[in-house]
Amino acid sequence: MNLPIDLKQAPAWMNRTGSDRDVVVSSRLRFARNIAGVSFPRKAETDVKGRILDRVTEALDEWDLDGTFHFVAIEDLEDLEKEVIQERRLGSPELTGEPMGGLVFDGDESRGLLINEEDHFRIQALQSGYALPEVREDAEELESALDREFGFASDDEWGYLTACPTNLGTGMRGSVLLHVPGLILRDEISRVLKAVANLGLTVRGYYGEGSESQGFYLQLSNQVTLGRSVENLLESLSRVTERIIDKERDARRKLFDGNSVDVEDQVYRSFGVLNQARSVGASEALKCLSLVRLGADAGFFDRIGLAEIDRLTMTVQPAHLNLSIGERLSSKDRDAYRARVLRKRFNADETPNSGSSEPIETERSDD
Amino acid sequence: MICDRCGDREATIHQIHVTDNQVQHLQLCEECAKEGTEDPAAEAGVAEAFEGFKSQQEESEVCPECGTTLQELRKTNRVGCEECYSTFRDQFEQLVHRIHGAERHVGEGSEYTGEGGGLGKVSSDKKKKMLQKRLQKRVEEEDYERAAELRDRIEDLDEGDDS
Repeated sequence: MNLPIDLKQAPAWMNRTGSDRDVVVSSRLRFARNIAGVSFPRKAETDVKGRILDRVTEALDEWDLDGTFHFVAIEDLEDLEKEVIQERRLGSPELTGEPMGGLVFDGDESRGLLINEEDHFRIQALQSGYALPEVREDAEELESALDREFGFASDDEWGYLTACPTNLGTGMRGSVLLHVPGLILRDEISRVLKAVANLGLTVRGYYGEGSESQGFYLQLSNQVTLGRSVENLLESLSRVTERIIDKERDARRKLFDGNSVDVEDQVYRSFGVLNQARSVGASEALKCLSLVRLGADAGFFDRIGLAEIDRLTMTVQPAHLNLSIGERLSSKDRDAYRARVLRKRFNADETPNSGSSEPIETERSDD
Repeated sequence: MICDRCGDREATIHQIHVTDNQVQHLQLCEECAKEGTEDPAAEAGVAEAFEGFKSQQEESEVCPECGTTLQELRKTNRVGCEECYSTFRDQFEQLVHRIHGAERHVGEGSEYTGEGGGLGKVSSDKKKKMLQKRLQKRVEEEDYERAAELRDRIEDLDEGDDS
């Protein structure tokens, strides 16, 4: 094991409560930066990239940043560890595919630095819930320290110069991961997204139709990086996030209003899978955890917190399971192991609230 | 349903992309969904923007710093170094406008005021110290194969032929 983190546990930043956690799973911000006078990684010599890694590790020792930072050289990682790094959102496929890549992160994994990815530096910060101001502050601290050390490539007209012109200007991408089962189950999501689409934001989502849903998550981020200040970009993002939070809460209220037996059935069936099934695939787990998350927020379960569900969503991903066993399992064995992990958690100290579900008025169907 | 990206594996994930007032739905297999860049819509946009580079411009033009050519830019959609932005300034002006809908950065740039800057040179002493630190860790973990590799690199440094 070469990674200085406990991979059976979710990253510590996920333990924090965070605000608006019912809808906002996490907030993230990253800056793309390059060292002035040095070719971008794709065109840089191996020796130069090695020197960047060396200089960063040296500098980390000297900087007086809060917290302990770990450095990992990609070439020192096993394949499984590389996959886990991606699942934990610490690194990208492009980074782990780079032999001269490097990764720096702090103990709770909320701050990270990707070295020699597409750009020399990708500085990132992550937090639970709605926390754009906090992740901005975290990322900026690391960004300033690096700038003082290396001096970034920047230009009066186009701001920070990056390997991909989509990142020019501020080099900043802010994003929030939203859980919006209400809007998706009520089929309101397209309408809401159309309303926000011309505000300079990009939305990516993963979901299927109806019961085939994949977890009801959307990622919202700023589309452009040049021509608007960091404040201005984050302001739009947070304004739209607030609007979606309101709409989602509203949709959930309507969802559980009146004859909500369909939704309740989906939630409790999902709970049943998590607490009884003997084989659970990755997407089924994601879908069931997502629906139980909806139920937990609505008060169906006493002892399942949102943070706990989010942590499980991360730790039952394939590479996490493989690595915690220490070998690459066949997908059949992995699904069985995943079911065991989930059962252990959901059996241990949770039974659905017997009183949470009102008697169902079967005759009232006009709602 | 077949994956919209690879056209091969079965699609199990529904992705939705919203850009410029367009809501785009994609059916993807798990692999392709994972491979997606941070922002696939922007990725598609930048490919299109690079496509717009005028081809009548002298194709032989080469960035003096990193050797990137116009063809290469169109092929990779990636810039080789900061100098490329000066070499191909005219083309980039249009491209930047197409991508960002703006011409000028708003906000600060690098505040670096030190001398020289850039990468500097790491002394081989410091480099050796860091390699030794990593070596020690490997030995503690009893990962002797990797330890041997690191030892070789340290020896190379000692012989002064590390370049």
